[in-house]
Amino acid sequence: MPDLRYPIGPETADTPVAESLRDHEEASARFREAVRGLDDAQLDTPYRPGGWTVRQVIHHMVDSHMNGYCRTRFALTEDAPAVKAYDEQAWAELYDARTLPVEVSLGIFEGLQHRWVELFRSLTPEQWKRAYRHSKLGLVTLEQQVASYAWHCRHHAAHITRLRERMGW
Amino acid sequence: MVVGDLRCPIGPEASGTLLPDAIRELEESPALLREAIRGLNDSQLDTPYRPDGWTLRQVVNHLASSHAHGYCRCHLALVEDAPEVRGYHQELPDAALLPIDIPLNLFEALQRRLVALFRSLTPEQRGRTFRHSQRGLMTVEQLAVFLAWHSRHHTTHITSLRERLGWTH
Repeated sequence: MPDLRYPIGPETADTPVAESLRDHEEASARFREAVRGLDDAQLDTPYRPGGWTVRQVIHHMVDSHMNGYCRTRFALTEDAPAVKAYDEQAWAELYDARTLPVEVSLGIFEGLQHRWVELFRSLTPEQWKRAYRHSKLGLVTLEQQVASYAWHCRHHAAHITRLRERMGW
Repeated sequence: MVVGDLRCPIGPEASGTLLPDAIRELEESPALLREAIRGLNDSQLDTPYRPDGWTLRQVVNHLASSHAHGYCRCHLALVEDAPEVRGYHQELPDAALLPIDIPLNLFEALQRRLVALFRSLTPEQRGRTFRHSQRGLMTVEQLAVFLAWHSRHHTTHITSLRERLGWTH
């Protein structure tokens, strides 16, 4: 049985920056393509038993990367600022993540990735070493952050594409 | 006109606005912002809205980033009990160079989800709070009112500069 929860394997934070940036750039098109043509009933299907629906996965991408963008900004303007893990499960159960059209978050995600990639591209070698202190993960440099969120894009996109494959959608 | 008026062209933060009015204003805010910068060329966008103030480009960027923080704060307040959130200090240097469409698209897309979320609030949720490092305790409803004021405040920086310099549409 394939691992439905970790279809591309565990999180990686050591991908080279250039490669991660490419993932970030392609991510919003990847998600658009992943949900293309799905109807509401399909969007409301969990990607695995007991897991989020496809709709929740898409809205989660915005929740997660919005937090990530804000963390990058904190890391660039403060010295190793403490940032707190957010309760992603509780956010995914809120009204907006359960019900809104995926188009709403696909639009935000596209805009956000665009903005974030521009910010990443502006960083000097010294700035890539800047870090925040995460309540669960400890010290995370921006080099590690860009890789871990690139993985995060591939990880969740695979939830959707694997579901489609299994269901023959 | 004295500098203080240029900085706060619509006066200090509104506190008496009702949630439905704030939601309507937020819904209209991306179109108003788009209209405010319509037809401006790069050198106009790189003009400070007041002596020593941000350029118009930085103002638009600031709106997108600040509402990204607002997005996170709103969700945090809905799922945690009076979570602590931090103010952030400054705009990042890359904001001075970005193509204007990037923050503008982000701002527009982000507002759609915030508006839908604010519309869905129960009376209990409206009164949920977060604790801001500089502003103290704020309810979700006060956040919506603040964001609506904040959009108008910065959009007016742009429109009043246009009027002063005769940059008509």
